Amino acid sequence: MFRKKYKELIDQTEPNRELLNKIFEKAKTENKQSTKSKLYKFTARYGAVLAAVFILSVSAVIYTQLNYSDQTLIVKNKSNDEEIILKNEFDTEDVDITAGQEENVKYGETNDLTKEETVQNQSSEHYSYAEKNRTASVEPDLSEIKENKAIISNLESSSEDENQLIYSMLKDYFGEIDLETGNQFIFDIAGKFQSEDGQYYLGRWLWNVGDHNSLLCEFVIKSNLFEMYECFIENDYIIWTNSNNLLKN
Amino acid sequence: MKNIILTNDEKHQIVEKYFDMIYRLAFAQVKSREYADEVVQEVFLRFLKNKKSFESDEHIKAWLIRVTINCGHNIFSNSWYKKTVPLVENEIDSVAQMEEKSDIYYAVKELPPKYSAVIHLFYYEDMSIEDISKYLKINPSTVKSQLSRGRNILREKLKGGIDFV
Repeated sequence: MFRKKYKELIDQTEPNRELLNKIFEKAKTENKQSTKSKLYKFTARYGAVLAAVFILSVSAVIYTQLNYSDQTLIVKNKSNDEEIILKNEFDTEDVDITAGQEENVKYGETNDLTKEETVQNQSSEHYSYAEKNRTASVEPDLSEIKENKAIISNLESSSEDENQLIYSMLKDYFGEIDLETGNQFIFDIAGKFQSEDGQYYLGRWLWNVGDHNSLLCEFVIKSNLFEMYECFIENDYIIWTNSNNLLKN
Repeated sequence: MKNIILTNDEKHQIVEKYFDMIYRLAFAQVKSREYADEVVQEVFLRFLKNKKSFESDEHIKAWLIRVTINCGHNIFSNSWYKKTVPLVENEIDSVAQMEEKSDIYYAVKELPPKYSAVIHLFYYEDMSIEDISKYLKINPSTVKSQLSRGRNILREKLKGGIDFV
């Protein structure tokens, strides 16, 4: 049961609470610094604006003067027009405008992910790994796994007796407390439904973690109480596979 | 919808409220305590300095989750991280020595970060595909495909030892 194992694994990582004080202190220090530097920021901002205006004015004057001298030069060199045109053509040929396009084409051939995925992959060290596994994910080996589906709206309410029977069986089988974590197990039956191979009950398996319940998995259990599978609810369907009977032992 | 501008005290309360959740999300993504500390610090400093107003508690939660994921991605693109990868891996292993090294541990450790976040929100925070899509501001079908790819990678690593469905 992946969800349970994953929760256990992540729960082993106790958050570093000392970090909280560090964050508050750092935020306070930075706040003080920013107040002190407001005056400097104000001066710097307006200083920068003035400098920019000055530079633009100077540039405009220089540009006007240069244009004027260029025009004079053209008039003076009218007889050398042909030579100037030839030089311009030569300059244009020097620019390799196809280089970028070739690179794009090459990139497109090796990577057909969506734009979002591409950006994420580029920023990730696991790029090649993800790419490698993507091929595997397209063709998963599911030949031995049978997927079952049932429409959730076909769920009927089950009687209290039926529920109690299932609860006591599950408690006998799995125990009342998770020995690995000490958390209390809670089973909750939502109802029953008819599938191709018989009647099933839909339920949830939870941990009682002090102030709240934490979901371990959703499951289906066959009415003969010998088969129980983890299931997944997607849109209007209950989906499960018969690959791992939780009551197989 | 009415926007709320938070006072410093309210911001501190929110940091304390979401600290564990954000820490675990960051750890699931960067897989190292050292980098998780860095990410969490960055996220909450941004939040405390932020002058932005929020619409609701859900809006704050979504903002924190998104910023955590972005900061996690930034860690991987950071040149310092690239240079120190072997050291970080040793550090993760040393953390693992304190714990029981399970197949799940290795499978999750090798899961690419883009799938780690979705897997974590789905399996640890018990969020539905619709919730994840809303929090991360991505299409539900993208969430589904990332979840499915993540599961397939894990399934392959675990060689069918654990049922995901």
